[in-house]
Parts: sequence; C-alpha cells; structure tokens
Amino acid sequence: MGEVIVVTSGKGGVGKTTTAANIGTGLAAQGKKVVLLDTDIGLRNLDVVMGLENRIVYDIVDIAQGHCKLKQGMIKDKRFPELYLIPAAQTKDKTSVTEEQTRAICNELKQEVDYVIVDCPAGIEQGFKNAIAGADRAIVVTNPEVSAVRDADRIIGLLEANGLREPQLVLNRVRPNMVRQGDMMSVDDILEILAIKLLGVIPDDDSIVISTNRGEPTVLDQQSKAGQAYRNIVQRLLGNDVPLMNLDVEEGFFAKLMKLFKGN
Amino acid sequence: MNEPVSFKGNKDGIVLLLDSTIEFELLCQMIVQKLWQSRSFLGEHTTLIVNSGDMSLNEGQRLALKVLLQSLGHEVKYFLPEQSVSEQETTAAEPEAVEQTAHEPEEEPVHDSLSESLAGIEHYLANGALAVRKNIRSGQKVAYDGTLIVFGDVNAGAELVATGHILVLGTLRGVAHAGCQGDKNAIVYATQLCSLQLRIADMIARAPDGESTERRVPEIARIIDNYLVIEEL
Repeated sequence: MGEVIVVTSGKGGVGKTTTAANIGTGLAAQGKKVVLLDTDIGLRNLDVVMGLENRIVYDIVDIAQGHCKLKQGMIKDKRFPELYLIPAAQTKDKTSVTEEQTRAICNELKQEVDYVIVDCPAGIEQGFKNAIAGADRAIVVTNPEVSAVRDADRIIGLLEANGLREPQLVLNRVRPNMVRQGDMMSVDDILEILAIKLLGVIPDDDSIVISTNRGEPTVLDQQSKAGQAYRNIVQRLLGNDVPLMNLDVEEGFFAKLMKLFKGN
Repeated sequence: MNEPVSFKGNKDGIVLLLDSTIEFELLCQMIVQKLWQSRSFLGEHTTLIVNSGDMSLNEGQRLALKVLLQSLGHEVKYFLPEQSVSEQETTAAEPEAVEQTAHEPEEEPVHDSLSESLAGIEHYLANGALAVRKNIRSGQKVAYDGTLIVFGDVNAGAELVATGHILVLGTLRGVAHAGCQGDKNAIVYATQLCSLQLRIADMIARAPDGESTERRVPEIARIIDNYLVIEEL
C-alpha cells in the first residue's frame, strides 16, 4: 500500500510544481514506484517541467470521467521505468473533477505504487480541495517572504481542518547571503511562525531555472546545490536522518583573509 | 496588377489570379476574403484555375491552396504555371482574359476590408469550414465539424480539433487533431509547424525529445501508407 503526498502552498509561484517533480523523480531514482499527479487543471505545468508534454494523450479529467482507463492515463517517464505522470487537462477547469473522483484515483493508484505525489494548484478553492481529497500527508512549500509565509500558515490551518495533521515544510529559494545580512527571514524565523516540522531547505539556485526549462528535474543534477537539497529531502521522506546542508556560498580566499583581519 | 487576388476568364473557365509578390500566408487570407465577397458571382461549387503569375507555388502550397479552396466550396481544375518558372504562362497569353468586377459595385482595397470582416470573429465559410482570425492561446480549444482555418498562432497548450483538415496560417505550437472522426485523408498545414504532438485520424505523432528549434518553413502533415508524415514545403 503506497502513500499519497500532496504538495501545496496557498501562494502561487513558490515552487510547488518544481518540488513535486523533484521529489517524485528523486524517489524514483531511489528505486521507488512513483506516480506524479497534476491537479492544476487549466494551468498544468508538471508535464512541461518533467519534459513529457509531447506524450500527453489522456489526462486526469479523462480518467475521472471514465473516458480512459487509469493505466492509459499514466505517462511513462523517459528516465525511470517506474515513474509515471498523470497530467492535468489544459482546456478544462477545476470543476471538471470532484473530490470523490480524485480520492478514488488516489486510492486506486495507492494499490499499484509506492508513492503518489500530488501537485496542488495555488489557491484554496475547488482545485485545492480536489488535490488534498485523497492525500495521506502534506508537504507545504513556502518562500522566505512574508506573504508566502502568511499563505502557508493559512494552508496549514486548512490542512489540519481536513484531517491532514503534521504537514511538513519545504522552504524554497533561500538566499543565505541575504539571511546573514538580516534582509531575509531565516529558517528559524519561519519555523517559529509556522510551527511545523521542517522537511528541507532549498537554496535559490540558477540551475533550477535551467533544468525546469529543459524538462530535466534538478534532483538528477549532481552539481546543483538545489539538487542536493532535494536529494536530502527524498532521503528524509524515506526515513533516513540527513542533516540540513550548509547553504553558505563558498567564500573566496580574499573574503577569508578579510575575516581574519577583522578578527572573527 | 491592381489587385492581389482577382478573377479572369480563359477558355477553360474562371481563373483565380494571384499576385506573385505577396507572402503566401497573407495571400491565403486575401483569397478567403475575395471568395467570400464574390460568393454570389461564383455560386456554390465552382471549378477554378489557379494562376499564381510568375510565382511558382510549390507542391505543398498548392495542396494547402487546394484544401483552402475546397473548404470554401470550390475545386481546383489545375494550377498555372504548371510547375517550374521556365514553363510558366504569362497572364497576357490568355486571350479571353476579362476582368471580373461587375458584381462588386464598390471595390474596396482588400487590405482594408480584410481586417474588418475577419477581425477577431469566427467566420463560417461555405463548405463546412470555419475560419478563426485570432491567436488561440493555452487552454483554449477550437473544435469544428469540418475544415478549420486559423489565421493566427496556436500556442502550446491550445487544442484544435476538426473532422476535416486543419490549416494554420501562423505558428502551430499546440496540439492539432485533424480528421478526428477517422478521416485519414485529412491534413494539417501550418506556416510554421512547431507542435509537440500532432494527430490525424487515429494516429499520433510526437516531436522528438530534446532541443526543439522553431522552424521557419511551412510544413504539411498527412498520412502516407499508414505513417504520419511531416513534409517540409
């Protein structure tokens, strides 16, 4: 029996889809059987991020409405044999599927695979309700910005009200330099407000933009810091204890020398 | 030449005379406009001879024109000049050439009235064809029982579905499904064919993975011997 994990945030643009794609791919890279489920009907992106757009024939609405079998709607990934994507429909809207239908799809998928990663749309309306309907646990993604943290707090409340207790936090796009200078909220500041368990911290990384545009999840990029952070998150999801990585940017020789002179 | 698209008569019938200097895409729009204006003169089902002057239309453009004219309810008898530039007949060589303007009392310049009658509207053409003059964006879907002609771009995430042919006089990046009820003779034509996926009847072709370059060449997709073939024009 697999587990359904919903990736949600409230606010848009904080990295839900990127996180869902990387966690799903990372779990598949560890030999798990994974289905990525895009519930952002009308604004689908997960297929693009995964580089599978050209393979779409059926989507979640077709499955929900019985136009195709579940297996037909599962697009096989080009990198891992046991990674699948169920795309959202683009020409429909959120009301095209109901909470019961999503729950039924999740429950059916759970019988087949180890993990179902649900990519949730922004907002707290029908799309959000659909996305969390079949979930066993939740990952909340946020950025170190006041507005994103505010929305994450709202979402955590809604998740708890819907029986999804103990959601875990992924803090995305952290810039250690800004945090050090006091210009950005630190991990501790945010954890103090949200008071949930931290699953991981992803540094702001140019490689994310590149890999997203190429349709290649960063988690597979051994050089990328963000990729390493996602690999750590995958390990934590698998129950391994991995310490938070040091996000500090490598300091040059000159900066170290200056520190010495300053007496730090 | 006073008009980009005009009619003349010769011994074999009505000649559709095209200005050789105009870009093919624009020319197609003008043809739709002209034939629509002249529908009372042309009648329901007319056989036309297409004369492109000194511009030798290539095979794909001829096919596209044929489909376009078919969708307007007309047949193409033959093309002039026949193939290469050297074999072409000049318009002056047609002895019975008569300018046909009698049924058009006030002839506006085509450019001006074009935008007016095709601007942003869905325009039903004669023979079960729908012309759409706007860009089709992500999430939008145009479905039509017949031939679908889009004057504009079709972006990724948009969907075109037609029981007949699909002509996109612009860039096609979205999914197009021609002959959706099983017509294997249906074609997809686009001035720039950049779709990640194309469907004709029950066949699906997807673009290869990896770097996709925006092509500048008109292409036509059709089924040949049970393969969905995309040919450069």
